[in-house]
Amino acid sequence: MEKNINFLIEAGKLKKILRSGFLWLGVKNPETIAQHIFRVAVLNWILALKNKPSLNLEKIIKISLVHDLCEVYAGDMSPYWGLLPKNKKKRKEILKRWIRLPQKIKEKRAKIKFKKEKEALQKLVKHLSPELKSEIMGCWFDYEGMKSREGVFVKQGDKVETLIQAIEYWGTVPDSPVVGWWEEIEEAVDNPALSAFLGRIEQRFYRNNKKINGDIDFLLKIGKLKGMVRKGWTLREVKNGSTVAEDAFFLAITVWILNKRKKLNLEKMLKMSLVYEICEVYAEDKTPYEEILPNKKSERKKILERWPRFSKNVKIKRFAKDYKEEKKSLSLLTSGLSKNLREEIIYLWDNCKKRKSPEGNFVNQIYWVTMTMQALEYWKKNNDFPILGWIEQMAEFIDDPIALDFLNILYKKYRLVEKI
Amino acid sequence: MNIEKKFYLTAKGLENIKKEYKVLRALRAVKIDGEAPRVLESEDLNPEFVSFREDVGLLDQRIAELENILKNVKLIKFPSKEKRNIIRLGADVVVDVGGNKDEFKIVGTLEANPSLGKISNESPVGRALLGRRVGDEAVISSPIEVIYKIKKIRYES
Repeated sequence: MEKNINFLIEAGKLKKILRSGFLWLGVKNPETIAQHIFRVAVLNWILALKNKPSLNLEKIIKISLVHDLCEVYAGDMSPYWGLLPKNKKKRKEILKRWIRLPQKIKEKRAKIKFKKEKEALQKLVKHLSPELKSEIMGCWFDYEGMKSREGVFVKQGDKVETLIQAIEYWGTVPDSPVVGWWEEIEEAVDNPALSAFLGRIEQRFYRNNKKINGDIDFLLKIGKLKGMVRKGWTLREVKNGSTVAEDAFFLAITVWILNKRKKLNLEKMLKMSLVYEICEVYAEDKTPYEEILPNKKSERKKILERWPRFSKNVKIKRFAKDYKEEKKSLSLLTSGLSKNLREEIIYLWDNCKKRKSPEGNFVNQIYWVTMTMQALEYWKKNNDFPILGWIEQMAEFIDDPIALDFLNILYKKYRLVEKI
Repeated sequence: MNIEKKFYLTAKGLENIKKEYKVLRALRAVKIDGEAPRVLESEDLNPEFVSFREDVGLLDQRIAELENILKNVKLIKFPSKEKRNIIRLGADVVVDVGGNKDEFKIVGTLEANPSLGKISNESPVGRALLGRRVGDEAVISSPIEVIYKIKKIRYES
């Protein structure tokens, strides 16, 4: 279990690694790799549903989660690595267009990149069980080498997600860096479901056809979660705390790793992890503290140190209120999707929120475990971070033996008892 | 020896499980035989069960889970009047934690939802509270010590 924790701590660093292409182009606070992976996974899942013949969705989501994992150690090697001049103006000019290189150079660069990334991923998974190691490496080889239909789909879907992000940063003005992504995409994407989606993007953004909504609107809206910092961190004065999208990525990968012991329906749990908090696009990210926190800083700190206590009636009322708001938000958010997909997303969320099935119960508990893991990281960096309330909460919220085992090892690893 | 896990449920919890089982069996019949049972017309069934429409595998898996629960269910019964001063499954408990009042209902893992104040008997706090009486203190050390002073015990359905 400790080896799994070490792997997850390292994978969690993707919450802090910025995407180099956007950074080089001068975007202030561009998205992180973890934020990108989150929407790649959702995009590939919902667009893969339109693919004929049908694709293995569990594999689609797993490959999406793994596709940039190597960047923990290899960094984000965009296609422009090593080719950009120091002069910012010249650099931006080059970045505006898709890079054109002779075939031999392309092959040479691809080999170097592949080797570096493969070694980085091998280093990351080194201490995992042989089964997990080969599963993760297998997904990555599948993606890199486009060895299965799912690998091909994710490879192309990754580029589509980046294009959407570029449009969100620069819009559709002529001569913007978005042109470069279109050039790349036109060479790289041939899947009919993804091509049809690109057609809808073109209609919506370049022909201003406002009737084109549905999946585009949904993906644009969940894109807001990339920058939505968790209120729990802001209240505790964490600077640049993790965002909803980053936490969803981290939850999905943690559930996958821990399911090797749990052995539940992984596809269902990966989907649950991705959609559990998407309602926050409209529903406010809430914590139990807001209603009771005074304005005075010293008093606020005192309250935040412990898990807040409420009567049974208050708990029931608050849960019912949150549930209603979140469900309403989710209905609005998914309104443009197909009926089946919409119902599935609401079902998965409800299942997890109310812990209705073994999968819902497990994902709900692992969600809290991953939040505690993040809290411990903040506490490690700043011992003023109020950690005790988390620990109290976990003793009441968690009863799954695997989750409890995970927490106990986590507490030992962070030397909680010695330090408090 | 394979000891099957017992699932502790309140009467309400058991009723919900039976209802879900009935609906899913009916849904399965729709898929297999094409019949449309009236049970599916009930308003409170949507959207929880509709997602099973396209996936027989998921449906069968959940039906098997529910059958296992129903086979191994143990109904939570309130203790006799003279023993209602002790915390057992199904008890509503009022505690004092660091000077603050809190309330829990102790339930089996299937019905636990701590956001609603329903604490699992298998969670560290649930385990520590079981068997305690008013005036007792349950000390949780997982890993930081937190003291739960028991103020009131009630049994209400």
